[in-house]
Amino acid sequence: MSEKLNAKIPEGPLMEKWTRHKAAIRVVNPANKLKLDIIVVGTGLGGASAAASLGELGYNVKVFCISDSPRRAHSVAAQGGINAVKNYPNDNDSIYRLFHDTIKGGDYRSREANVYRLAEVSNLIIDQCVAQGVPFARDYGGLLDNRSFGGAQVSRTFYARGQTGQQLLLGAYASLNRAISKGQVKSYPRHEMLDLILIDGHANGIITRNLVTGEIERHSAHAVVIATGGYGNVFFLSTNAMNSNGSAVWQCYKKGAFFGNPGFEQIHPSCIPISGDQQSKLTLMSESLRNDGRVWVPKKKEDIEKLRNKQIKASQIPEEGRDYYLERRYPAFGNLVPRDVASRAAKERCDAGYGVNETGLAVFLDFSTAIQHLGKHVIEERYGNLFQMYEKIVDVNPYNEPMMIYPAIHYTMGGLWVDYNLQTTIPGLYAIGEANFSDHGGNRLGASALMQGLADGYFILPYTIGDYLAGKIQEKKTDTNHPAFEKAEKKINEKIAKLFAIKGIEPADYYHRLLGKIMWNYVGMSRNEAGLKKAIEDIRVLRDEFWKNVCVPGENNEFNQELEKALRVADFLEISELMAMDALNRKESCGGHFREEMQTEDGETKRDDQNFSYVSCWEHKDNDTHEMHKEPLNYEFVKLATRNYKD
Amino acid sequence: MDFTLKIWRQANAKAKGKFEIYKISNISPDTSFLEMMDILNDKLVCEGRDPVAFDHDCREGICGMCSLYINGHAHGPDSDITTCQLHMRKFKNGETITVEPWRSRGFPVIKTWWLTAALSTRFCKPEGSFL
Ligand SMILES: Cc1cc2nc3c(=O)[nH]c(=O)nc-3n(C[C@H](O)[C@H](O)[C@H](O)COP(=O)(O)OP(=O)(O)OC[C@H]3O[C@@H](n4cnc5c(N)ncnc54)[C@H](O)[C@@H]3O)c2cc1C
Ligand code: FES
Repeated sequence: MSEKLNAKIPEGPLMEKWTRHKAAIRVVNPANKLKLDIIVVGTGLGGASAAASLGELGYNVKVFCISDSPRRAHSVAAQGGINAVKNYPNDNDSIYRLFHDTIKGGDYRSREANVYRLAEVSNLIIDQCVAQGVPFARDYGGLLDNRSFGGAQVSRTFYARGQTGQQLLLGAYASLNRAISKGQVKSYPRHEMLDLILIDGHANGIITRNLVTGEIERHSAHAVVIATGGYGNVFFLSTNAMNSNGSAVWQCYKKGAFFGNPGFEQIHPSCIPISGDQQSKLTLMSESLRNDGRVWVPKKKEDIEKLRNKQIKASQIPEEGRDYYLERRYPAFGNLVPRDVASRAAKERCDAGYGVNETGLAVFLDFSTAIQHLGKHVIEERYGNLFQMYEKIVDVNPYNEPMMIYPAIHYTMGGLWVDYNLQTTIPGLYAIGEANFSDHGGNRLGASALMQGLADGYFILPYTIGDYLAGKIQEKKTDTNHPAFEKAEKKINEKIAKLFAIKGIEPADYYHRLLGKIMWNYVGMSRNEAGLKKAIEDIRVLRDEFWKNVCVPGENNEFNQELEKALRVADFLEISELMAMDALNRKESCGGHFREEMQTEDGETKRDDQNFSYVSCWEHKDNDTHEMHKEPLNYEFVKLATRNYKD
Repeated sequence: MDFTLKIWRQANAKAKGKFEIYKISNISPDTSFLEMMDILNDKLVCEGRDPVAFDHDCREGICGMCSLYINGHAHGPDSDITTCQLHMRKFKNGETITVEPWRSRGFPVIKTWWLTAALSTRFCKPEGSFL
């Protein structure tokens, strides 16, 4: 094991680790906080909550994002909800149950101590957000309402219709604005981080590009926090926002931060199916819909034919002609199995020829039973905006006909490796939210990303970063004329000049689309050795093509969206290779990582705990090679078991 | 479907803008308006011309980045949506579509019709009054 890979998990019983750790780590007094600068990159739920909290604490914070306002970060699009263990429905929920569900949902590939802490602070998040005025849904008696998400048998998900992310982000953004108006946080919208600055091996600043003027700027600080979200857009078509990207994470990796589990991606079972080759993104239909929606395909092939030829409508197929395959295969969890399980089950039916649309890549998500039982108005209250979104895109009214859905790339469990303090292998560099690898193992449970982002930003990082900064109070601000800045800036200018100089024939999107196809075919829902090796070869060829033939029009010193895209696609063309390498290395199936060679007779994942109970931690080496280290996962409190959602 | 696009082009905030005409063909009715713009842009890039800049991010009607004035209506002819949710099936085959920036002081043009939302952000006061 590399000596840099010390997870710093505190001693003691699981329940006491976080409490003991908080008591043991150092704090910085208020006067000294004023002398310390922190850079936060990203303003999603992770970055906004961290920047607001650190600003309130009295540090000098600079916060950066790509959009014109922090509140437009990708987190705004989260629909379904956020988990916490308030146990309001009195259904026997507890910290331990959420902890256990998360470990199990992640197929036993996450760190116990981190996950327990996440479950422990989950309730604080709800209190914090209610205090900010986040309008969570309430029941008739006025109590906060809960709904169910996959992989849990209790209802623990707090929500604001189908717009939970937006409301939570507005809450965090309001707190951020308060800190901005007090002068504790300075906001840099439309600024993209292009490189990390290391001085004596410590993170001391970043280089950004002002997206309006093209100016390359230098920013120094005593610590840098990466909260730039996931890299799911490697697949071109995903549920992520168009500007979501992996570049900041990748640049940190190239500067020495280890990358944890790059091959763990989440494919979400319920997205609007692909309609044609002009499409630019896939729209999610929240998992919360599986509370009331039932997934099915017809039992008979002739019904499939008639559906595809538009001779009948789904609603005309009688009950006995329908195969509610999730309820059939997984009676205990039914429609609420975890995402990886639901996605593979949809693929299995479609591969067997039961796909319900012309492309054969869709299944039904049907609300007719719920509408009959509860009435249309209840469904409208719960999911009104999602139904409207569906109708606008597909031109079918889902109150009358079932939705059509198919799996799509949604989330990346992999990310920058962090220790218990959320610090990467580079001292002074922290990673929070989807950008880190930490809590979800091989598969994230629904409504747990928002929880993790806000846990990291409001309640964990503000404490753990103090321990590092306490050692920095004597350290002067880094001069941005330091040679490390000079060197990084020069390198970036050269890279940009090189992109313009190619003057090729294809736009960046062209390469991105092709990369997406390679990834979906070989590094997607189902992987095997030959396919992964082919993916690596194809990616290398495509990357060479890109650097020979991409066309970036315009100039650097202006608003130039093609340049932005080209820089991000250049990084995707490198990240993708590491993802495939990691997936190739892991010769077991676990969570969303399904290796065809490793499956049970009925097509379920087959883990290999003997050989793969570790986090794969990749290190960037000279000449763009990659070396893997292992962080062993020692399960002290949970007994490893085969996931079972059947009974 | 085929369309004629009449698009407002303006190099920067101070430059004088003007309409330019583009033809686009083979667009599926299920393609979204911004995807149609992507196709136009890819074509322009391949021809060595300057693509049309426009703001967008979530492409599902929640982030508030997209902001076009289409055929004289904010976000175009459909109701209760943002530009990114508009689909080409809402237009007639062969139609001429006029595309402009929002013309108001709160949303100044930076390039073509790409806007800063500085004003809308200012509505979102510290202490949490939500827009
Ligand atoms: C459609 C959809 C619905 C979802 N619904 C749910 C849900 O119901 N419940 C749940 O728990 N999870 C949900 N998720 C997952 C969850 O929304 C995300 O994992 C989470 O919001 C990520 O938050 P974040 O703060 O880590 O990053 P993001 O919200 O992705 O924010 C990233 C930030 O970094 C900035 N940035 C990126 N790169 C740079 C750079 N180089 N320089 C400067 N700034 C940069 C961006 O501008 C942005 O501000 C959903 C995801 C999707 C796609
Ligand atoms: S792109 Fe987000 S609302 Fe249109």
